[in-house]
Amino acid sequence: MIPCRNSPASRVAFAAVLSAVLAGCASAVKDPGADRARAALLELQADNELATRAPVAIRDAENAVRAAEQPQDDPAVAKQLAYVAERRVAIAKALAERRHAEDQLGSLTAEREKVLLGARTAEAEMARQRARTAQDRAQSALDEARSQQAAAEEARAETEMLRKQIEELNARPTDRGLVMTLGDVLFATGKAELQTGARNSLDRLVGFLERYPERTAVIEGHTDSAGSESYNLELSQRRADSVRTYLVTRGISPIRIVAQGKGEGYPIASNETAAGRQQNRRVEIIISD
Amino acid sequence: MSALRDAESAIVRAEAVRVANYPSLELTEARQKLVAAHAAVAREEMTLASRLAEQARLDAELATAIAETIKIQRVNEEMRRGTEVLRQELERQRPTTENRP
Repeated sequence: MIPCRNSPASRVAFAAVLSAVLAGCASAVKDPGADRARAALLELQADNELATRAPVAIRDAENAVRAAEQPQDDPAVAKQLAYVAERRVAIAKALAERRHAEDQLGSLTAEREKVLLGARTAEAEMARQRARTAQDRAQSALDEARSQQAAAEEARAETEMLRKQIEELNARPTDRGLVMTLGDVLFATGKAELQTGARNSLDRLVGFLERYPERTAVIEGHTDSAGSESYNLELSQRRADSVRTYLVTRGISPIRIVAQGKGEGYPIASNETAAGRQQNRRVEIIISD
Repeated sequence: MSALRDAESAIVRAEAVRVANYPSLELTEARQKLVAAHAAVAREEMTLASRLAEQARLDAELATAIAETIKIQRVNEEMRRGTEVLRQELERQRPTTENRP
């Protein structure tokens, strides 16, 4: 019997004879599945993501494909080898895909961690802002309380100062305002010129009016009943005017001061006695509240 | 016959890693071939039986490999979706944070 493969006889020139001989024995075959397996293996090896990930399985697949590519006398054997090759390639591919997915899982986990860290950072930032806001509120409440306290303190000091000033002016609070009474020592009898001694009391008034610029003053001149009524009215006016002039020369605005001669009509004591008359000769300064 | 035993244990492994709600054609094929291999043994067609057993083993091994790959890919998909949801949640929270006095 002529061997089917690699025999010198197969190279005999008489083709017709040869084919007749060959028809009598099983021809060496390769299953078409071997080509499919090779194609699938090439595709896997060309895939950059997968080719390096399952080297052992790919080598097994390569060996199986090579075995399948060997022509076989028995088609059933060829078919079996092709089947094994195709399965080996498919298994290698699935394994490489699994490794690839495992690597992706690693980077997905890292990304998740990053986002979570970002979340914690954002949360911490939020908490920090809330704390800062609360702190700011507390601080401004404290500041406000302090400034209110300071303002109250200042008002109290101011009131105290005013009380002292009024005391120094020898003024008394009335319905019309603070009333300061200057006795007849201001003027010589029958004269309207201020005596030197008067300046002390009036300078205290100037100081007061400078300190409280919104206050105004009414200066009223009064006399006793000695002399004619018209003379007394005129004298009281001149005296009130001279007080006003003095205050103006000391820098108090004239629009804040009104001078009125009241004459003898508003006594505060009896004109029958010398002491009473002395009390009635006076200048009253009414300071607005 | 050792080929039959190998096929049987490969099928057992594939059953164990089976993905729920995912019908595996390879596993079904492996089972059918195992049955056919047993039948061939009964007919004393030992060559056919051993070929069928080898095919059944390879089918089961492929079923196992595919199932494990799919499982990890599903985990990845879930992770990706979860991270995306988390990121969107943070994006939504951020502007309200800044608007707070």
